[in-house]
Amino acid sequence: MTVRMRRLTAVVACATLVAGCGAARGAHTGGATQARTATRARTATQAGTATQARTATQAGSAARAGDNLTAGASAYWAEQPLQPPNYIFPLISGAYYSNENVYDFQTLMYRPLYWFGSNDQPGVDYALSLGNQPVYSDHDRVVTITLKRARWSNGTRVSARDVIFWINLLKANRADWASYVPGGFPDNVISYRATGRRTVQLRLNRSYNPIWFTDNELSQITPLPLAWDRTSAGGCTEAHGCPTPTALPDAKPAGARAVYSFLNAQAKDLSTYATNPLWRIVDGPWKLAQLTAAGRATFVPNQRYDGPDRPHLARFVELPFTSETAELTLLDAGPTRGGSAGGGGSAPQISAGYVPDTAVPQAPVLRARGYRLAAFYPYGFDYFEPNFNNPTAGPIFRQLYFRQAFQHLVDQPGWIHAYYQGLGLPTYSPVPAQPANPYADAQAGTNPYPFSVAAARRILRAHGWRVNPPAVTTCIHPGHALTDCGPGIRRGQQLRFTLMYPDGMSYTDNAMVDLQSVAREAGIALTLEQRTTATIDAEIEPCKPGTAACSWQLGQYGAAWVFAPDHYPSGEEIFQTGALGNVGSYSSRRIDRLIEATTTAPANDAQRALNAYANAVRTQLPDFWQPSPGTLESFQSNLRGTTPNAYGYLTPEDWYFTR
Amino acid sequence: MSRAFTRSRTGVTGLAAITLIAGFCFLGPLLHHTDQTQANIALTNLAPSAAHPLGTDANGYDVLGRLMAGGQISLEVGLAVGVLATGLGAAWGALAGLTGGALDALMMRVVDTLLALPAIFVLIYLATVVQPTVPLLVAVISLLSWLAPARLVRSQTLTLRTREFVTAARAAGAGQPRTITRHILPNAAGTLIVAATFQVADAILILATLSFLGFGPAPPTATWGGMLYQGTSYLLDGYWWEVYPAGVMIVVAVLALNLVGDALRDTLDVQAR
Repeated sequence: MTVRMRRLTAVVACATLVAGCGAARGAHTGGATQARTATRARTATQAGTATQARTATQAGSAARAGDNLTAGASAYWAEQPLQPPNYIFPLISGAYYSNENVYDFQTLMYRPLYWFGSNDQPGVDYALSLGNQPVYSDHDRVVTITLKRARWSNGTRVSARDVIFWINLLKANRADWASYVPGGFPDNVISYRATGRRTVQLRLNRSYNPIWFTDNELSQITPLPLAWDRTSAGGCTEAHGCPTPTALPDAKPAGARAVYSFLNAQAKDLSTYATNPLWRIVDGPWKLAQLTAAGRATFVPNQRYDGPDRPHLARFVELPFTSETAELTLLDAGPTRGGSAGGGGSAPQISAGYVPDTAVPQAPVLRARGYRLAAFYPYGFDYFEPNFNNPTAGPIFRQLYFRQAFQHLVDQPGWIHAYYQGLGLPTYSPVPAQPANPYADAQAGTNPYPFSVAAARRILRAHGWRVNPPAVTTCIHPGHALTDCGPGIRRGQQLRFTLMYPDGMSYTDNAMVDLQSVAREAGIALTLEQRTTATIDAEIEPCKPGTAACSWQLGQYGAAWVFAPDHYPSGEEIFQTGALGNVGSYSSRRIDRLIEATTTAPANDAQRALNAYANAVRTQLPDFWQPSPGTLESFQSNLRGTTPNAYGYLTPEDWYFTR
Repeated sequence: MSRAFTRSRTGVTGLAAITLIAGFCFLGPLLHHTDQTQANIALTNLAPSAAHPLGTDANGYDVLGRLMAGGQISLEVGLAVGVLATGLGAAWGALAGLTGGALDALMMRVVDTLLALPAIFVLIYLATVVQPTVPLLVAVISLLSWLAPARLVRSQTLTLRTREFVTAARAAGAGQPRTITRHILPNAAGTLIVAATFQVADAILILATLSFLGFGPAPPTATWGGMLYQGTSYLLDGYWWEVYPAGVMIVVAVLALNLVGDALRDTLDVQAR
């Protein structure tokens, strides 16, 4: 099943000007100073975080001793239909932010400071990171980052100044950063400086949960080569590369803006990606050798890469497709055993692809063709949203009993079996239990509102509604008492709602039809409205009561929330009052306090705070949980090292063919 | 006329097919009872069996029953569009042709302008901003389909208005409405009937196209195009019963209506004979 990821940045990207977002972060930054009794340095590991140290030999995906590797082989990876990479500069704006540009393209060449996901396990992987574990001191107000010894492909070392370069560009061009949230990074950094050749120190505006700060704020940093610190291409040649300028303009905001402007313009010229001396300076395991107009990207190993996961392949090729059918057709042709040694010019084939969700029943055929199939579930959850600010439905959605009744109508196991072809994980919590992760507690795996039409009817009847299907359920006891319908609901009001969802995804289509059908059994009339994804994105947004934008009632994105690049499963971006991801405008002081605690708790109390938040949201239902879809990925049977990254980062450097 | 029509083998075949389809859609549910509003998660994608002669679809709906329900919508939309579009087009074309002069030029430039709009794009655009319902689809398809009848009737009117009986009626003081309704349109009836027949076929095809593209009436309303749209997702999985029956019904219905239309034209068009 093809996963449509709704990453945090996709939410915030186009709306950084919205004041509500600032309010959300303001809750963190403006809070009272936490009473601390001792100053102590603490690393995330000491504090019991989700750290998973790994060495190349320990890694499940690294080549194993004794494997008979095929030397000089090429692997071909299938891009999503009509979504080739089109932006190379890591400081990416919302207009270009996409999985295809960031997780499948840029990170192959330009490594983030901290690498997240150890194979399929969520959490930071310091073994693969450019930085050592950050050290938090002064009541978690000061962060000290020490870089490992790494170098750029032009021979210069990755240094503290490269990190400062990134932060300088970010501060001067924050509106152009897809992940920027007012009040968040870098606004919450009072000062920053390089204290040594490989050491950077950040002073924060208050104490923060070190795990949260590492996972959600430091996770945004990508060191940039100082050769990019320029406002023109003067001095750069294809033969001799691009030297580091003697004067570095990024130190001043005006200069940083000019540098960004220059690099952004360069990044828009796709035809020069493989030849521009700027982009050829990489610190990741791969260099781009070719990018065609159709979107075929060919990578070769960065010979100067000195990280722990050096590529085993001679060439890695990303193949563009115009449709899922085209991808399936090529997949169905079968791979060449042993990988292709012919490089980019050989006959098309897919070494690593995906099985379109409606073709999942063909799994046996594809296995017979020579593929190994594996389900992949990114770390996140799926949901659909009630609009609490809708003038007619809002008062009903604000009643917890109604949300509980409605959640009882979502048959998650049934949907997974019937519509997701078995490729789905049930969602019961904002800190999901699956895939296995170190954040969720035992409660996350239990469903407080299991599928039961009878339970839904019982709850509604107990709160002043006449439930007599197929007639539409009607409020007969308006009022504020516990057995009444609740404030804002008038006598005779009916449970009629519109449910908007994107077209084109069969499992969403079918699940929504089932929900409509089941809801009818409880007397709830749902009118289904299929819309294009663009319309959905435009219409299902936070709105102020009384405005035309608030006309939507129930909205389904058709996309799961994936924790990347904010990897810590706290809820400040989706459930806090005023947060941009809180499109249904849910508001609860209790939940807001619990969310704030997850971002500010000291590390030794972080898990307790996270559990308290997760269990409150799990039962309060600010949205309606639905199964998270997975992807059935296909790998040539002798292609190894393909364990997918928990957040969806593409890691072909771990891949290798066996004979 | 009826004798001439019955001599057309293709016309009779078409008429028989349409009659059978109408009977299948409107009388079939009396014999084969199914629930086409309540999905059944336990019955998804079942192969044909005694209980479900054409199997079930991805939501557990009985495909045979859904064909009948979808056919009802298709035929209703087709007939409604045929009547509305032909009526509107006839009135517009007759008025333009009879009046002549600047008004005629203006009215026909309106027709030309609207004809230049690609109807399917207009329909898809509208479907993306409002949720299509059956009445809305009838209205919109009709508004985009009256142009061809308008041109046909106008050209017919240009011929008829010079005929003696029209001249006599106008000399006797008949106004334009009376001239159109009593003298022009009755004499253009053959053209109108043929046009209406083709309009029905076209409307069924447009509805199927829109539904196939996902812009049809919202679930759980059944349409043949919608069934085809949903079924093609599973074609490679071997669920043929979710694709071919709906496709066959669309082809047969449209072909039959075209055969009837052709036969009627041959019957009514004296010059062609």
